[in-house]
Amino acid sequence: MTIDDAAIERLVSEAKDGDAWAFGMIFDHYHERIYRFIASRVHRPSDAEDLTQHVFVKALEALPRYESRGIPFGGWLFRLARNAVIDHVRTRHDHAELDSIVEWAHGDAGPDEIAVVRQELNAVGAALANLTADQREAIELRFFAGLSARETAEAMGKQEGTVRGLQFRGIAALRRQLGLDADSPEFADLRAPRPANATTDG
Amino acid sequence: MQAMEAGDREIEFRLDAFARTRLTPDPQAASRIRARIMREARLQFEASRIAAHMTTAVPVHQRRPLARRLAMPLLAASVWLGIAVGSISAAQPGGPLYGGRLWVENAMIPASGAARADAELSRLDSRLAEAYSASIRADPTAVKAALDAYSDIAAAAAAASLGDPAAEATVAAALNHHTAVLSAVAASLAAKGNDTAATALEASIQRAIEHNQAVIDRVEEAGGAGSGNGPSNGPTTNSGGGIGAGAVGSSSPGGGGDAVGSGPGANPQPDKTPKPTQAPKPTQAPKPTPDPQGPPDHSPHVTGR
Repeated sequence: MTIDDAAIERLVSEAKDGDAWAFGMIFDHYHERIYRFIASRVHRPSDAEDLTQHVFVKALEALPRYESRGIPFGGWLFRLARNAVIDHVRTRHDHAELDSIVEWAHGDAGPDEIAVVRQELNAVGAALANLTADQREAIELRFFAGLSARETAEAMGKQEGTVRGLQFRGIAALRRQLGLDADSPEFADLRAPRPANATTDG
Repeated sequence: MQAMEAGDREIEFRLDAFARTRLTPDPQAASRIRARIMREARLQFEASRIAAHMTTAVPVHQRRPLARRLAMPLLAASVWLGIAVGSISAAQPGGPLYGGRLWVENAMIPASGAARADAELSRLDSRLAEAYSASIRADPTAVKAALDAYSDIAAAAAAASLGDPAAEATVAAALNHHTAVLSAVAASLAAKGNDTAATALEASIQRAIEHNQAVIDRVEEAGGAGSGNGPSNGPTTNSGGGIGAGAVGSSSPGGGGDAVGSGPGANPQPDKTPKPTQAPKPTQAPKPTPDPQGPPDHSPHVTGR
C-alpha cells in the first residue's frame, strides 16, 4: 500500500480528531517497517512484537501533541521506536546480535537453495554487526524501515546530510565485507543478471 | 562508477532479502499487535471524547468571555438602579407613589406615646422640607401634595398628643415654628412676583398656615380642658388652662397656677389672668419682606423641639 505524505498527514489529522479507523490505516502503513527496525535491534521476536505494540501505544498517547511543522510523521514515529529500543536495551541489558537472529520466514525452496540463502543472510547479518552504531542505524532505518533520508534524519536526530554520509560509508563497509567491491573476484558474478527467485522467502 | 552502482544494488538486494526473511513479523503477530492497538485506540479516543464532552458541558459558564460574564450582573444592577431611581422619583410629592410612601411611613411609626409624637413631628419636618424644596422648584403640585400631607400629619399629631400636656406643648411649639417658616416662604414667593405658580404656591401655603393655626387652637383648647380636671373652686372652667396655653405662647407666664389649692368658694372672682397673647397670625404678616431676594431665615429642618 502506497500512501503519499499528504495522505499520511490527513490520516494523522483525522486520528487526532479521534478517528480510530484513520489510526488503523496509519498502523497498517507503518507497523511492518517499525517491526523490522525493532527486530533488527532486539534479540527475540517476542520482544520485537511487544516493542512494536508499545511504540504504537506511545504514538496514540502522543498524537494530540504531534504537530507537523515540516517534520514527516514517519520520522516522528521512528523516533519513538528508536527511543523504545534504546530503553529496552538499557533496561534488559539485551543487545541484538544480528548474526544470532533466527530466521522466521520459511519458503518453498529446496534444501540447497535454502542453505545458500541462509549463508548469504548470515553474512549480511555479520557485516551489519561490524558497522558503527550510527552507520548500522542509518542502514536499518533506510533499508529495513524504508524511511527517506529526511525521515531517517528526523528519527536519528541528525542532519539529513549526516545521514547520507553515514549511509554511504555504511554501504561501502558492507560492500567490502561482503566481497562486493569492484576489485573483489566475487563481484564479477554480480554483473550477470540474478535469478528472480534466488533469494529469501521464496 | 558503473561497478559501484551495481555493487550498491546488490547490497540493497541483500539487505532487503535480510529484512524480509529475518525481520518481517509473521502474520499472526501482526494481527495480534493490530488488534491490541486498535482496542487501545478506541478506548483512548472514547475517553478523550468523554473528557471533551465533560469539559464543554460542565464549566461552560466559567469559560465565557469577561464581557459576557459581567453582562448579566450589570444588566441586573441597571434594572435595579432604574427601579430605585424611578421609585424615588415617583415617591416625591405629587408623584404617583407619594401616597404609598406616606402610608408606609404612617404604618411604621410607634403606636402611641411620646415616641409617636416625636415620629409625627419628624414627619412634619420632612413634609415641610419637601414643600420648601418644591416651592424653590416652583412646583405647585408638589407643594400642595406636601402641604396636604403636612396638614393630615399635623392633625394626627395633635390628636395623638391629647391628654399628654408635654406632648401637646411640643406639638403646638413645632406647629408654631412651622407656621413662621411657611409665612416666610409665602412672603418670599409674593415678593418674587405674582405669576400663576407663585399664586398657587401661596394659596397652598396659606391653607397650611390656617390649618396649622386651627390645629394649634384645638391643641390649646384641649390642653385647657384637660387641665380643668384638677381641683377647681371657681366657676370658671378655664382655671387650669395655663399649662398648655402658656407653653404654646411661650412668651406668657401662663395663668392657671393659682387655681390649684384654693378651697371651694375661696376665690369667687373669675381668673383675671388673660389668655396668653398669641403670636400674630401669619395671615397678618406683612407680605413684602425686608429682603425679598434672600431666602427665609428659617430652615425647614429646624424644629421648635
